[in-house]
Amino acid sequence: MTDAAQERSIKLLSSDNETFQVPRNVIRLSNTINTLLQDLGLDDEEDAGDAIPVQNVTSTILKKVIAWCQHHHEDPVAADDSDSREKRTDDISSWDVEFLKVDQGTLFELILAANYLDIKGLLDVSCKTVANMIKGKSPEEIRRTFNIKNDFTPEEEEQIRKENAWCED
Amino acid sequence: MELERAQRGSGSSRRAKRLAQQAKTHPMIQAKQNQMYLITTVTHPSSDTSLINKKLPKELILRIFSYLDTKGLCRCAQTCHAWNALALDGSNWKRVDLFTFQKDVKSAVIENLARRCGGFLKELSLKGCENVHDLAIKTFTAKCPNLEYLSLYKCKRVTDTSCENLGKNCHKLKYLNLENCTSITDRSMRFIGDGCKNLEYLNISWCDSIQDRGIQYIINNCTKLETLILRGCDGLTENVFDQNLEQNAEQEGLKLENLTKINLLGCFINDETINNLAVIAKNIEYLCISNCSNITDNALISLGNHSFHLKTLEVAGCNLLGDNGFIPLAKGCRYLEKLDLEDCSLISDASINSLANYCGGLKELSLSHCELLTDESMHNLAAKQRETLEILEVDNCPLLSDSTLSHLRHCKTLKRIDLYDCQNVSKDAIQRFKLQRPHVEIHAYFAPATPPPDAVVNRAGAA
Repeated sequence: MTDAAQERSIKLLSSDNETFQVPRNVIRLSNTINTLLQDLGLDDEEDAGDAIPVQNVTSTILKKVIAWCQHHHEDPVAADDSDSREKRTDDISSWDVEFLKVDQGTLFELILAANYLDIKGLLDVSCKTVANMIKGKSPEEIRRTFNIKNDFTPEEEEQIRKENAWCED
Repeated sequence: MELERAQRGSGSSRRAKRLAQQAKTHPMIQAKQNQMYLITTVTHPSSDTSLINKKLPKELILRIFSYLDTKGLCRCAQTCHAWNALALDGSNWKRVDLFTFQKDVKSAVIENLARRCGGFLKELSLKGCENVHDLAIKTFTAKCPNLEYLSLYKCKRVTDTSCENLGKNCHKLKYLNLENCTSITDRSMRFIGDGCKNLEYLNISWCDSIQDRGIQYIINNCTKLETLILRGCDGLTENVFDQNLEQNAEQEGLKLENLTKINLLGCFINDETINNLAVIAKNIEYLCISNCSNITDNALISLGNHSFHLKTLEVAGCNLLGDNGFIPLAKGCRYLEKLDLEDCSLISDASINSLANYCGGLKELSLSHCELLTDESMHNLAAKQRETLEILEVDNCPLLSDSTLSHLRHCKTLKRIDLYDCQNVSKDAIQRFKLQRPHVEIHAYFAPATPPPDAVVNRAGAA
């Protein structure tokens, strides 16, 4: 751990102006930060420099995002399998399951932050968690889970039910 | 940047301001922000009370939907207007796998699914849907002309009519798996050859009605073909790759430049077949001729003369093969990485020494039941391939001793060694090896000592 690059840290500034110091090799999971540092030519500098504003992410969420990166930054890099991606959602690690036991608001904020910061692993696992909240539920149960208002007229509802009945055996 | 470096220290706050400015105007971040605001505000009316619709833009809800199967999507479509539009979005219907419906997939399901997917459908797997018949395939091919990937694995009721419709409608098809579709014949191969010129992968394993002529249609017409899997095609003869077998008189000197993987497991082929194949498909990288029991050393000599790109060769159970084949093979095919020689019981240390000396990067070697091998060739293998060897299967090689293990210790990349029934390898040697290389898996089995008498009594008592 004497390597200078390993010890380098980056400062991030949340939307509510809180500064977070993050080791460079932890925040490397964020492609957005990587691109920014490279494009601005800041990746070779030794001191932390000034804080990078992360305008869409609050300190509460940024703290959680950093905690996730901290836990996962040594994971092997997954191959780019965007095309052959299977629809599995039962492969979430127990640490992540615990990590994502949060209220819906926080979960959606995490998805937004993971998307904004381009952290693929966090985006995948948080989206899978929401998919698991949908799976196996009837339309009415899905509405209740997400507090979705049924805005169909009774005629529309019947029509749409008929259109989709084929997938129920 | 030079100027900026000079200013560092003194103008820290000014620089912070500029950095914030730059981050704000950075094209990628700008784009992301625009995208988020635009979509969030446009898609959902403010009257929507649900947090998910208020917070997440369309793309991210679609991303969540991408983890749902057909049933889940159809249920989401029934919740509200916004989700109805999202669930029916074409991006959700590019890949369909009806494996979950198994045997009972009904024609109404097929009809609705094909209509819903339409031109969006690129990948369709009906693997294991044994009752799917030609009518269903007709519906799909008519409604989903952009199909690129189709698996009909074990759809036993499918006949040539399905392939006729595929050839007629699905010209973009790249991947076709017809394994175990035992009703199809050479007619299917003609339809596919005529209509699916973009085919890269074809698997017709165990389709035993297909004859040499069927394969000729395919290789003469599907010039982009990369992979041909013909396991257990009992209808094929040794003439399957003959150059002058009908129709291609004008195509004298046929070359299959793109064909790199071929599997002929258990086919009734001989040395001449392999020679023909090696001449027409020079770029072959993967070849399986396991259980082709007529194959002799001459086939390996042909490969050594023509197949310089060969990386994987499986000849398990070809028990006529010996040193006179493997030595020239090793001299010609220097890029070999994986070899399965199980039950090639005639080979001696000379074969392994040639492979170890000439091939630069052997990774996986299966030598199960190659009973003549001794420690000597294992020493050589361990020395020459110490940087690459990962898996070595030498179970049932009774002459190998502890000395083999002590040499293998130096292979840096080793992951697994199989040693079942190597009677001259001792438990102690394995223990020592495990201490030195704890991350290497060793598969060995030692029969337990005769159980003590009281254990026998107990079992008898329990019964």
